[in-house]
Parts: sequence; structure tokens; C-alpha cells
Amino acid sequence: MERIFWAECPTCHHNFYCSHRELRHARVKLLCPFCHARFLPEEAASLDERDRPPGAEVKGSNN
Amino acid sequence: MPKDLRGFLHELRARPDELIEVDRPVRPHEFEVTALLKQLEDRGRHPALLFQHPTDQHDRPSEFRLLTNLYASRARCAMMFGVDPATPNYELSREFGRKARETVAPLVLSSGAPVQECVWRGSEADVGRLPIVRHFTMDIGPTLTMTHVMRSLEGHYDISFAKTFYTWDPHRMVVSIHTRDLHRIIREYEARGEPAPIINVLGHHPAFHHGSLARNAWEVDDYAMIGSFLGEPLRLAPSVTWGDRFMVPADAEIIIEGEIPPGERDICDPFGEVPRLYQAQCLRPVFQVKAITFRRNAIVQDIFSGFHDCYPLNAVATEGALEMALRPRFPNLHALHMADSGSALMAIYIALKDIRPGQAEEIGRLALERSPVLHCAVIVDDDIDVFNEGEVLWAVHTYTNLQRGITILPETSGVAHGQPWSGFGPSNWGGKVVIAANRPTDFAFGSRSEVPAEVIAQTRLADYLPPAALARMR
Repeated sequence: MERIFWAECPTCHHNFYCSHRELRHARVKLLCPFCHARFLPEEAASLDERDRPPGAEVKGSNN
Repeated sequence: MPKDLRGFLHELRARPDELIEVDRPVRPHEFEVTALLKQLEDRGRHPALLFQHPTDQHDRPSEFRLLTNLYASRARCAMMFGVDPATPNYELSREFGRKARETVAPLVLSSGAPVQECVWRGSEADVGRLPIVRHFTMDIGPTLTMTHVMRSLEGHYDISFAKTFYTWDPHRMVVSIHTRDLHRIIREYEARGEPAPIINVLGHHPAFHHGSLARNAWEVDDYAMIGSFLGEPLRLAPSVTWGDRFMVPADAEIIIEGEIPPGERDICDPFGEVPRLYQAQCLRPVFQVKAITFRRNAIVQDIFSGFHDCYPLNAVATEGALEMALRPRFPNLHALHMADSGSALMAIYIALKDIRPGQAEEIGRLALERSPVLHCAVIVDDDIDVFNEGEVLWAVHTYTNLQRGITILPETSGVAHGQPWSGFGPSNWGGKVVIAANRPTDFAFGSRSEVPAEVIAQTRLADYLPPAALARMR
């Protein structure tokens, strides 16, 4: 499962999501799909980067 | 006449309700095309739509037409491959599997390629003049959704669906590739520090695009494989940018010729992908536009991703491949179907005749091993129609032993699971599952109620219902 993070645009305050692996710490500016503002993840109005809870993965067969 | 998109649309016009032509101007980049498609989808209607007067990215009338939803019915897909549209289910899947194993050598034209009737180069080659669809609310922008072609350094061509994102720069797009072979070609060029030639084929006979989904070996030339799907040699012509070093399909509607500069990446996505989830924003290769070539009055094709337009596309190709792979080991395989509810990617229904003990889990596991994103296999008896999801779910709810009939394959099971590069967005998968939904035979168990088939055959609705009521059911 690909890990993502949600970013809130500091300009228009719409939310969209990004690849955590590719963009969270890459020092690359995100592009808001709603207003086309460019900003670093640290500049987002808010971030939701919660990962899948530990233990959520399936442990084994019930057979 | 060589097979092309226009010829296929001519065939469709002879059949009622398959193709609707829209004269009123429409603004594809402002969601108007997908707004119409969604309303048809909600009504259970899946016609192909041909927009005669779409606007371009500058909000001006485009010189191109726009076709969408062409693949939304299996009957139309059957017509593409010469299969009787009255039998569009497993007959079509098996035919696809057979065609994927054959090749027909392409035919090279020295001049007169229809797709090069008109050529835009340099500043004239503005992709913003195309009617490009913006599909979904969170999409980063208008997106082209059809097939791309690249040529390996060894000389064979690979054709794959990929998304190309409009960036409001007339000559620069970003291309998001999901397939192993195109990735490999890009890496090969980047290792040499050279730009990689790439073309975006925005319209052709639908078998050209659909056939590209066949799974084949790296060294197979896809231009030859497409000849098998067309049932005739694919006609090729030298490109206007690279000449005979890169051949292009001569009977396409529109081709964008471009290059991927080595190592250059830019932001793309979100885009509402096939599983009806957005793919996360990411970095992908830049597509530098070199030329746009097209036929007069050309038609741009598009796919309504995540809805019926992509179900038969994915389903028929995967069903064909699995039929060829599983049949030798399971001669009692009756039929299999990639479920619409799993976007024709994530869930498969398999019907077997006279299932032996343990066979349900065995075939389910093998099917799941064939694809990283396929994660649910339901095994039923051959009296259950796998193309009827209601019947399959009835079997699950009625026949499955919930303590012993469900096998969960965790990510550590050795079966391939989805990887981030698979590019189909986030999901909540945490394993794979095989559900044995066949009728128990190891103890006395009830049987399904049935109306006598011979009486159904003799008692026709048309003989009993008023004509007006009958007409409303069509």
C-alpha cells in the first residue's frame, strides 16, 4: 500500500494528497490542483500524514 | 480499406444506442464531458459519445472532435475483435487470449500516411489546441488518457496506456507511466544520457488501444502483436521527427511526437485512476512536444477512468491472459471474470465444473499470483454466471463456510502484493483472499431453486406482455 499525506493549500485551503515517499521530504514544491499555488509541504496550512496503524496488516490465514 | 477509428464508428452507427453524436459545444477542460458521462452512468447507460464541437484549452472551438466511453460495453469490444456482439462475455476473453499469442508483420508505407495529412511543428505544435478532458474534481488538470509508443534500444516497439498531463505550457507535458516495459525503455535512454522518443496516439481503431493491454514478453514487437488484434497488418509510416528511426501508426487520428529529456521530472497527479481513487501527486518524466500530426477532421479519444469505460478494457485483457495460463492446469475451468465492482482490477470470479477438494484455494491462489493488484478471488460452481455479480454474491452468502472457506494470504505469503510504483493510488489492502463459494458436496446440502428451463424457453415475454411494457424494458 502506498503511503500518502494530505496537504491543505495555504492559498485556497483545498485539500489534496501526495506520495509520501516521493514528495514529503524531497524539497520539491507541491502543486495545488485547485488554484495552482506552489508550496513546500512545510508551508501547507495543515498536513495529515498519519501512517497505517501498526498491526493493521493481516497476520495470516484462518485455515 | 485499412482498419481505423472512422471505419469502426461507421459500423457503430448501424447499431442503435451504441453511439451518440453531440452537436452542442462542450467544454472538456471544465468537467462538462465527465459530467454528462456520470449522468449516463447513473442511469445504467453506456453509449459511446462523439462530441462534434468541443473547445480547446484556450476555450476556443477546437478543430478536433472528441470521442469517449467507447469501451464501456463488452458488446462494442466484441465488435472490435470480430467476435459476435451477442456473445460478448467469455467468448471475447478467450479470443483476446488467443490473439495475444500471435503476431502479424506490419506494413510500411513510404508516403501518404493519413495521420500526416496535417503537421504542426515548432510554435504551431501547441497541445492546448486539443480538446483535453479534465475528468475529476481533484485532478491536477486536463489529462490525455490513451496509448503511448516507445522503441527499445534493441529496436522493438512497446505500446502502453499512460496518462499525459497538460501543464499550460504549449510544448511541455508530464507523462505518468505504469508499465514495466516503458519504464525500462526510459531507464535505458537515461543511462545513455539521451532523450527518449515517445509518441502519444490519441485515436486509432479501438483494437489498437485495447490490444496494447495484452501481456507479452519484453522482446515482442507490439506493432506486430497489434496486427493480430486488428486481423490485418498494422500500417506504419516514418515519423516526421525521427524519420524511419521511429515508425508511427499511419492510420491513427492524431499523434503527438515528443521526447523525454533524460532525468527531467515534474509534478503530476492527482488523477482519478482506474480503481476510482485518485493517484497521489508525484514526480514523473517530462514529455517535450516536437510535432503534432493528424488527419483532417481528426478525433481525439479519451477514457472515462474509474467507470464502465475502463472495465471491459482491463477485464477482457486479464481474463484472456488468465484463461491461457490456467486452462492447462485446470481443464475443468468453466469461465472467469474480472468483477466490475473491483474496477476489473482487484477482484476475480472463477467458475469451475465439478470442483475437487482443495481446488478452489489452489486456482484462487494461482490467479492472485498473476497480478500485484488483484487481491480477491471468489470460486464458484459452473452453474453460477460469473458475469452476473448478483449470482456470485448469492453463492458467497449461501455456500461459503465462513470458518473454513476463506483463505487469507498475508503480505508475507510470497504472493505478489501491490507496490507503490503500481501507480493505482492508495488502498486499504493488507493481504489477499480466496473465497470458496462453491456448493458443499461433502455432506447433504440443499440445492438452488430453479424454474424449469424448457418452460422458460417456451413461454416468451413477447407473447404475454403488452407491447408498450415490453418496449420500456429494452
